Amino acid sequence: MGKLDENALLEGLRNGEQAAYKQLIMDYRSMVQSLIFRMIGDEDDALDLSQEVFVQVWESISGFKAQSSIKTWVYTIAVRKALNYLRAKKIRRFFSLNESNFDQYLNNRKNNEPDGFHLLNQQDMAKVIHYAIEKLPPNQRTAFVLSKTQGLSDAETAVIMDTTIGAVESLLVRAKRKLKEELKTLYNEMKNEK
Amino acid sequence: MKNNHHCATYQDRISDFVLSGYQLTEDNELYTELQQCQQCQQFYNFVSDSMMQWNDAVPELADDNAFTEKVFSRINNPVYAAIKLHPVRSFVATAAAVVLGLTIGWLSAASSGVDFGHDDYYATQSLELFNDDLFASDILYEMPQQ
Repeated sequence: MGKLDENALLEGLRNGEQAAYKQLIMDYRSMVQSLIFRMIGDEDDALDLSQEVFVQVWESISGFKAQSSIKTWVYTIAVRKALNYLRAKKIRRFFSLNESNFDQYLNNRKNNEPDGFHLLNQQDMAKVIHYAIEKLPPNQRTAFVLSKTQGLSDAETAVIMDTTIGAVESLLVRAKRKLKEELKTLYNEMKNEK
Repeated sequence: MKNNHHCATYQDRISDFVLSGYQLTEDNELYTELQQCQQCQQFYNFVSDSMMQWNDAVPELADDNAFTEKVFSRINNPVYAAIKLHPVRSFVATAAAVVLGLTIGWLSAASSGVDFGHDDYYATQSLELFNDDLFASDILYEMPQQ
């Protein structure tokens, strides 16, 4: 069977055809998992939430009015799942009174390496941006990830976030300002740790 | 080495540049400036490498078929479906499950001879259990000798 176009795919999904549903998963799974991972930073939970996204797609396909593309709709569900997860995590963290992840990470590195903080490896470098992004409020984080890593336009991001293009632009400006400050702080912390 | 004010200004521009997704090329004004300050160069490397690694750090995708099967098994799993219910319905479902569990527990206990309705039963039983004569005659003296 050939690849279905958008209309045929939608028709197939509405009729409950498993083949159409499988194609939807193949088409969007990578995008969904990568988006959620960048928003929440945990690989296992990102995989779990990605599965939930497709379960939700299955459950609510009858309510999808096709006012946006399937891609935008799937993105919207993925963003909501990630935001709900972050909200729940924030509550858990409030009660656990833990030090921030980054402080914890630096401390672990210091404890494991008697000479102090060594040159950063590739994995560490990837974590730097993640820790900086973790400091952003959820809406700024969402706008930044959608725009910078998923390559979506401000207009698409606005539809997914259910807001205006102006609001997205403003969120991106504030996200960038905050990230710049965080990067400077992290750089200085690491320099001092060396 | 340039002064701190210079570095602070350029660190701002560097972050802006990298976060906007640009790549540094030799004809860029920022490139010329970075050649003259080691500290700014270090900061550029830090920010741009971090951004690059973060962009590349995509989670490893498990087998597509395994992923699809997992999704379908969730869709067809009644326990998962119950958890996914609306909060009010979920509460009602939980309460119903508790009532059902208690009922089954009560029925199985009643069928095995426990009489829940008579306090005298427990009173008599406990008196008998702590009766010294009972212990002495029926239990202790019947214990096998070491």
